[in-house]
Amino acid sequence: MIYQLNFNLPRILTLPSFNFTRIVCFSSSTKDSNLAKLRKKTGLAFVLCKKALELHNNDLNAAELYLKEESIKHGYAKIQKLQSRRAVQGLVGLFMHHESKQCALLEVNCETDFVARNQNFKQLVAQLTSSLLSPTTNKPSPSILPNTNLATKNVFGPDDLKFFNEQLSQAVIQLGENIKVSRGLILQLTEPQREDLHLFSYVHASGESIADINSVKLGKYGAVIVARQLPNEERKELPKVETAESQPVTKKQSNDSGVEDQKERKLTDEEIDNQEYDIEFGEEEPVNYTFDDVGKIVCQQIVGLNPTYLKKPEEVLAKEKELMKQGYKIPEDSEYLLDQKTIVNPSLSVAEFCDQHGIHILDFVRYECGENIEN
Amino acid sequence: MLHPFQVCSNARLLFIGTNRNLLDSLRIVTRLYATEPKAPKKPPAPGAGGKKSFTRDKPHVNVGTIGHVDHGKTTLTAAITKVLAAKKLANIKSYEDIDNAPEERQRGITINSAHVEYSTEKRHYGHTDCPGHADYIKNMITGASQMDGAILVVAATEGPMPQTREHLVLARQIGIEHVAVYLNKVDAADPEMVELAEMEVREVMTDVGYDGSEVPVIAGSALCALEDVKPEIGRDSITKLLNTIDDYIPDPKREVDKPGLLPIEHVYSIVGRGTVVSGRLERGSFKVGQEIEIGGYGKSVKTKIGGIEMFRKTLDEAIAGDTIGVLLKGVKKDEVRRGMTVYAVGSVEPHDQPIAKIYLLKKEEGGKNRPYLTTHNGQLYSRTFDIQCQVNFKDKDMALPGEDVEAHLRLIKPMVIEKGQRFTLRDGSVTYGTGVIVDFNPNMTEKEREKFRKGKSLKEKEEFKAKYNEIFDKAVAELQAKT
Repeated sequence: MIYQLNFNLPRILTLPSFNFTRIVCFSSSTKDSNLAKLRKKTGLAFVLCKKALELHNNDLNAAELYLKEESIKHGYAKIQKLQSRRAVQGLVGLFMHHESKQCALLEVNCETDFVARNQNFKQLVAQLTSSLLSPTTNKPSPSILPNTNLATKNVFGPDDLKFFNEQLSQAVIQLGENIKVSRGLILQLTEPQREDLHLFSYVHASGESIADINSVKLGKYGAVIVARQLPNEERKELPKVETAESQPVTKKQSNDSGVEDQKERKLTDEEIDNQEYDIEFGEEEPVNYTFDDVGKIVCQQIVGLNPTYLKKPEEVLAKEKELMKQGYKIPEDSEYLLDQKTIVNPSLSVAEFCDQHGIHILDFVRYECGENIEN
Repeated sequence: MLHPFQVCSNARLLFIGTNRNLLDSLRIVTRLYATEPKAPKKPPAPGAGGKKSFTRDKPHVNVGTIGHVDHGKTTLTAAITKVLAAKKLANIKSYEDIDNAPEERQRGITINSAHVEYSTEKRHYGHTDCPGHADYIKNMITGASQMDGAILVVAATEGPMPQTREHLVLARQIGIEHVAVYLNKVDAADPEMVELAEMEVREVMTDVGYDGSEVPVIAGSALCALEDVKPEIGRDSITKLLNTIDDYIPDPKREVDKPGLLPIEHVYSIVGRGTVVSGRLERGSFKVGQEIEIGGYGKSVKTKIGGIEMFRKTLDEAIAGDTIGVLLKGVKKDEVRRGMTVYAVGSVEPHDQPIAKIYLLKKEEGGKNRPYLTTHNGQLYSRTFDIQCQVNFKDKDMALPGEDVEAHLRLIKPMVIEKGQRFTLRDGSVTYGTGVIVDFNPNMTEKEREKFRKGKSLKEKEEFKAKYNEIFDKAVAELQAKT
């Protein structure tokens, strides 16, 4: 019934009267038949409902009980049948728990994005994602982050997620598509009492708004970072580097523009239209991001620019230095997060941006729906 | 026969090629000759296997099938071609012919998994089927295939699926007003199921905003039609479905019947006569003496058509598709310019805050490989004009290439734009997005526009920075002098 929220109130209000007119058109026996009732209750295909009723002499309750058992069996059979069909659409669910000290990520795939947009499917993903954190879930042994012992990761492969099959079979039988859970992850801070450690996350939905069901966020992409807030004494000096660099350039330009101002002339229409306005509202304010904003921006960066690694390892750096000496140019399209240019301010690299805002990134995870699935 | 142009281009290859290239191009030429099919000496009689020429004797309508993967969309399409082929109105397409998409789908490039054509006695149809929601939206935005109507396929054995709602929501979103329903697989269902399925379909359609009680529902079995058994639920149901879409989906309005509109490509001033604007009459018709308006770039002029010329000959009336010059009475050359639009008075209006659906191109499609943030600036190209605009995404901070977003645009000057108009967005030399106007916000007031346009130019920003640095330096120097 949740879907009705999407529609305006008058429509809902007019619905009953509409139904009434339909009842007149259809024979009332069909409308109230056991088949109709059973279908309404279970949402299963007509043929299944019919079969259940036939087996139980049209006894509604017995048929419903039978269907409950049968649907699981039928669902498993259907999972087997549909298994080979290609499923690359779907959703990534992200659940932040314990005041951002623990977080679960899960990818559930289906065949078409129609199903990925369906409320039933969204609810399924939300439910599965949050149940990943439940204490009864069988978790694979955690691995400690490579360069720090501040957080642990539990990585679930498709085989570790078999325990979801019962819920999946229900969904498969309702939605009639191949649905599978392809990977999952739990990220956890080892010292949750520490104030300076945080998990930040961002979910990005493609072509629609980000769904949020029981505080599980659903979208096509998901990213999480483990970040440490640097204490004030560890922070680097603020943008001094930038002003020092830009100073001579801007001064020169201001001289130029001064000359231009003197021989100011009337611009033609066309020139005015093509003049490069940097359209903004009101006065320019110094950008002041909160800690949370910075975390979110970095996560957006990860979703948007798809880095593979956090930073360049020493040997790569050494190699590059040598190449630079020989006159090679290092390509800009970086797969290292910290070397990328920030999307909010292309003149800064992510490393500089984080330094400026006193944040240190320890690790990140990025999920894109369908990225790992072979044909 | 080898087309003369091909010979020429190969000859050119020969000329410019180095020795190795020469060999290669020779090889190409020989291969071309080798693979060229032997042309019959006489042109084939129509219908005798040669390429038939397309005759435009019936109105063309685009339809598409929507529905769940297992409910028989492809079977229905195959059945339609089969039934019509019996009347010599279509070529039979087998299920495999239509379902040729898998390889394309694997490469991840397909937007049309099927494109089939057929005719009824009344009309010629193009038939599309897309694999997913995003594909339909992309088609709608880019204008690749616009559907005038749709057939929703539902299996009577299963009834509507939960995602049938999403299928219908999509149909509404891309502006399909006429949806007919085909209840498939009735050969495996009993009458009670068919009746219940019909009831549920009507219910869902009403929920989504269609008039559920008026929607035509046809029950049948595409499989029976395809296998030529039980004609009463097979072939006859297909015929009934085709008759229904013939009647239910209205003819698309022809461009000629709409009010006239001409985007200006050039402006000339002809001594002794006045100002002439030229361009292609996009739709409708213009008559000499007709009252027209010229608008765009925040200006508008009302006048009358003093004369129309095409290929240096005068004519009294021009119709859609003609490339014409229009003499404007009493308009000076500097009042009009390329990018403005000539239109029948009152038929369109200048707007500066359109709402649009935008598809951001992937890198493989020529776009950029980086995300776009809301409130970024782009150059909007449409018809003959281009203008700077600000793109504000609806409810989103960021959008990635390959994604479709709804955006609220602000143009620095009001332009003549209308619903359904397509445009591209460019950033420097890269076309990164393409879009379609879906609605308008009210135009900005003078005050808002001033505030919007006052946004600092880059130059002003640099100046501000320089001034700030100077003050800063001074303060530092003073401080140092004191200590």
